[in-house]
Amino acid sequence: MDDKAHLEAEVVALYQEHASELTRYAVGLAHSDDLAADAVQETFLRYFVERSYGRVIENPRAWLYQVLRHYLFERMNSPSSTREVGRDDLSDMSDPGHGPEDLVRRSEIAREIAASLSNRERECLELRSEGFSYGEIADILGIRIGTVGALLARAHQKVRSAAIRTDARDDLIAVAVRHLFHPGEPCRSE
Amino acid sequence: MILDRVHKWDARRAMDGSVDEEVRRHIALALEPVLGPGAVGRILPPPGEASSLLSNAERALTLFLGAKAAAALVSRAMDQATVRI
Repeated sequence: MDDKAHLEAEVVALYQEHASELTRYAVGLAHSDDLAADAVQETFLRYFVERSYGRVIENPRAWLYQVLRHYLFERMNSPSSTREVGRDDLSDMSDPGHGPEDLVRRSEIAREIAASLSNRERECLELRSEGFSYGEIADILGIRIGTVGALLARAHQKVRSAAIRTDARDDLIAVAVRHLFHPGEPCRSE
Repeated sequence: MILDRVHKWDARRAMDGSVDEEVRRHIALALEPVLGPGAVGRILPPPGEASSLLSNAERALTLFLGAKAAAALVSRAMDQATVRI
């Protein structure tokens, strides 16, 4: 296999492994399926381009998130600090496994949490929920590790406060947080 | 679908030598303030040998700036280059 074919195989393997999670992340940031899909394609193309010029990318997953995020904010022509968490994002939480009362309750809690988090806190929490380390989150967002720790601590405190305000059980809070970042996935309150 | 984009870009790069030149120019611009123009000429591979362009640049920048700043600088240079290619 020559270098080009090897590189193509590398991109395809990464695409198969990460495209769906990156698309979900992009939709969450851009609120547009079309823009998200385009951004993900551009991100993988950029990976191929940089690798073609010999770039060594030690952590491809974190690199892809970083480039995708940067690309989206460039395209939206809006700094991350101005992005508002859309309350409407949380209003359509279909979950066929649970009754309407559970759905309404979960939706209320998710709204409460979303409204209390800053954009940076929300992004940190989302990336943490995707399994990234503090160092990787710092690289993706372009901030210091200590700042990531502080943002996550504050986010968790706000989630706990939302739990107290809404008098919700821990499992319901966990489901509500998951729904914040993965609204299309069915959740089970276990 | 991703391979379609990859093949299109690759075909354009093969047909149009200015793609490699544009990337090289932006990387040189990123290196010059740190290393000086003389060193840039020695560090970057000659035009036509682009497959080690970014690894050479990033390695040299890392010595002066550290890995994070070097990576950020190379990424910014590629942002500017890819807008044009």
